[in-house]
Amino acid sequence: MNQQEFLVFIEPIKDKMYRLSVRLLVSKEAAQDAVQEVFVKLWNKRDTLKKYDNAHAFAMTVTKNHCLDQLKLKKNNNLRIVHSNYEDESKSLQKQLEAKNELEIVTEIIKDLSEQEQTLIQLRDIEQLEYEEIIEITGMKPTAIRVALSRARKKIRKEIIKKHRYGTV
Amino acid sequence: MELSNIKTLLDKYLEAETTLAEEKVLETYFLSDHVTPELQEYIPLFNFFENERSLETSEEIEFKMPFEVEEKRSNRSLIYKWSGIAASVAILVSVFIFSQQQKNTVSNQAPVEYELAMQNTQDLLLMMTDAVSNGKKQLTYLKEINQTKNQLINK
Repeated sequence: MNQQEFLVFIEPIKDKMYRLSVRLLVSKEAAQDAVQEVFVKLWNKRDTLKKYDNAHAFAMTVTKNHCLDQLKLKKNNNLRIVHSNYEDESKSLQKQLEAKNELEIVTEIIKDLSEQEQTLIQLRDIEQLEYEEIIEITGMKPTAIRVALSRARKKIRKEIIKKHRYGTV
Repeated sequence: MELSNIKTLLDKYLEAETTLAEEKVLETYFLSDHVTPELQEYIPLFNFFENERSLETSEEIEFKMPFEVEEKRSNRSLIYKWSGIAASVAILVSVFIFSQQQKNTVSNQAPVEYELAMQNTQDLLLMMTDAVSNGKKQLTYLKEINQTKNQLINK
């Protein structure tokens, strides 16, 4: 794979990679760095890239794993400094109060989901990928994906109702 | 789309059993302005999905392609290599020139110094011989004294 082919390969998928990184890492700067690093990883593997049936799914897998690794690093750092956890909570509380419009409220709700649920919501509801692709990217079993996704969707709905006090339930 | 239809789709959606096409039907319904009040809670959800989908890298971010970084790095290393070679050549040349110059100055100065030294030593030797011969002249008086002394002792 030469430079031109690599650019062609990256072009249709870079936005998806970026959005998944933003979903998991929250900060846009961190997401940008993550995508940049994933590009390097993919470029280093450019010769084996062609062997994958679905190289785009592979690129998404690399992105997902890289972001989860970054999160693990962050969590490890937080464990050492106990106080920063405390701060984080107050920050998110503050943000919850400040979140005036509906989109921000949904963003906050999704942030509180597990990483796996966030990934699934991102891939299915935002990127609108077929389940086959999601299976390839996440390496999860179809039933596990459906169970987790259903759980995530129900949670989001419940939280929206709680926050908005919409009349139905 | 009938309301009852939407409701059954929503139930399937919450169980994650809808197809992509069905989810798109739901989305267009909730993004429209005719959502029934009893299903209002889904509006922010589908708005959110729609909004997130529009987040794109091209507007705000320029990614550095890994091979560009590589090229820059190799360019830089080339520059380092050549500057190293240039520096070593410069050192060699300057050492060569310097030693050549030193040789020249030595060969220029040497004959002059030899002549000077010869002259100086010759002068010195001449002075010495003068002094010695002067001293020798004085010794004749000593001879006289010796003679008179000997005459006195012999008597």
